Amino acid sequence: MNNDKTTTEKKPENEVKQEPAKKRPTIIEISDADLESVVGAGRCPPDSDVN
Amino acid sequence: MNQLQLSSDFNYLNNRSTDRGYVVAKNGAVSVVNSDAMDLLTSSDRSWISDPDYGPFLERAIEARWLVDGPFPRAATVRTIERRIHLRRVQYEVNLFCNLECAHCYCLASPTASQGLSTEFAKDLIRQAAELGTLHFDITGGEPMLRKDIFELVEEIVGQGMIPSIFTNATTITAEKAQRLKALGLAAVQTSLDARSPELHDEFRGSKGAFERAVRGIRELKAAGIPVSVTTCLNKRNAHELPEIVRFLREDLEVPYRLDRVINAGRGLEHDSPIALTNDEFYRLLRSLLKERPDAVTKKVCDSVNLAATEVIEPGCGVGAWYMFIKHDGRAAICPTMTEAESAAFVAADLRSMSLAEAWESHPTFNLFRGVQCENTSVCPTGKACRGGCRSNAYLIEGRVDAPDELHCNLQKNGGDDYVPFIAEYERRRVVGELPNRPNVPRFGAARRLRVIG
Repeated sequence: MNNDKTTTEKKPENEVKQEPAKKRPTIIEISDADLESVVGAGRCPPDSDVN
Repeated sequence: MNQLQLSSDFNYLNNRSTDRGYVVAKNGAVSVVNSDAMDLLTSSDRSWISDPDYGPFLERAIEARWLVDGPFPRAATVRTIERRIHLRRVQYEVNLFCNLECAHCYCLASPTASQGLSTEFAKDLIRQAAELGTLHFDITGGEPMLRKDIFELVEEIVGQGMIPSIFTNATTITAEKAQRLKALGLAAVQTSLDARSPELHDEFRGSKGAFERAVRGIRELKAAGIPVSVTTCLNKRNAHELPEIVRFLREDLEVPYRLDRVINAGRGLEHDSPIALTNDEFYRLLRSLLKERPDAVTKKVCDSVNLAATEVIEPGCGVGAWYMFIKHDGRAAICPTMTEAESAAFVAADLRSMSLAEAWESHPTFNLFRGVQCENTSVCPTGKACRGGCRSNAYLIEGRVDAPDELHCNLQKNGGDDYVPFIAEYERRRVVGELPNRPNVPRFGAARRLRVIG
């Protein structure tokens, strides 16, 4: 964090020490593989339904 | 806590181009995270684990068993790709050769049909798929278990960090083969039974004893711990057996199943007297089954749903979005029944002369049909539930790749006994301006006039 609030002159951007950006981990979907009994095309793979 | 490491029960793939990470269980289940989450999971720097900001994510990752605390070093497969159009599933028809000659086979498999291409070709294809970030690699036929190199191919798929499954008629599965497949890491088997009475099934399959052999094979696969799903292709001749078929699958074999129907492709077109059920007939059959056994299908049908469809909805099977079918002769197709056999519009990419990446990302056919979907999905209240249904069925019946799959429309929207012709209803609403005009997408007339329209 840059706590130097007294500085009046803005430092050139390339001299400002940046903390590495925090990761923003997101879990979009957790699935199980339980096969379901469905109406669907048997020639095709199971409906993976994952985007 | 810092000893937490990736579980080898999963494969991990990070696609930086789409900001999606996939955690794929060895049984085929796919969980999706973003690339930041995948970076944390797969980083050798474990200091983030003690950062309270990541506490909730860490908790979920431990709960899902992606991270485990084990005394032994674990080897997990981790892949990173940068693919804007991500080919997530490949289904390869390794032969057309089959010990059976089924009356409804969409691909005309038979004891005299093609044995498929070489082991080298197949293994190269598997390696190319892995490089593209494919998660699932399904083997189909013909009858794949009649290929001498079938175990070698399963081993290669697993070794490349993908999840294998096999579509087989199960008639040649022995205890030894089932155990060997399990040991190699086969995740699932799809097979089929077309009647409860062995005589009718055998007649369909063109082989006496086929029913008993298939049932024995299914039991061996289950005993070895391989999940099996059974498809029943309903038609005019076995429809009366449906309740008994379901009872047998549920209570005797204890397997999940798919209720499908004979389609107008391959040998399904060759009958003098059509055996395919119309949408109407199939729907009424399902309705009568559901009245008797409301639990006959675990995925909801005939329920009124009210989901707002406000986003791009990809077909659940991945057709045109993240799935490719490869034929026995090395030609790539959009799906098993959207090939050159169905229409000249589906010109195939020949993988004997071009790479899988080239075919998937640049071939005109894949580019043309990328994003193929029911024309109404984005404005339909049940779009998220049916995900557009089956594009191939829509094409085979209506002659348009973006037509509604009317049976799926009806299954999602109609809980009554009478079949509703939704395509006519959509047309009426389009005329009066309640639905938007059709987008300007390529259209193809039906290559074959089909019989299932009642």
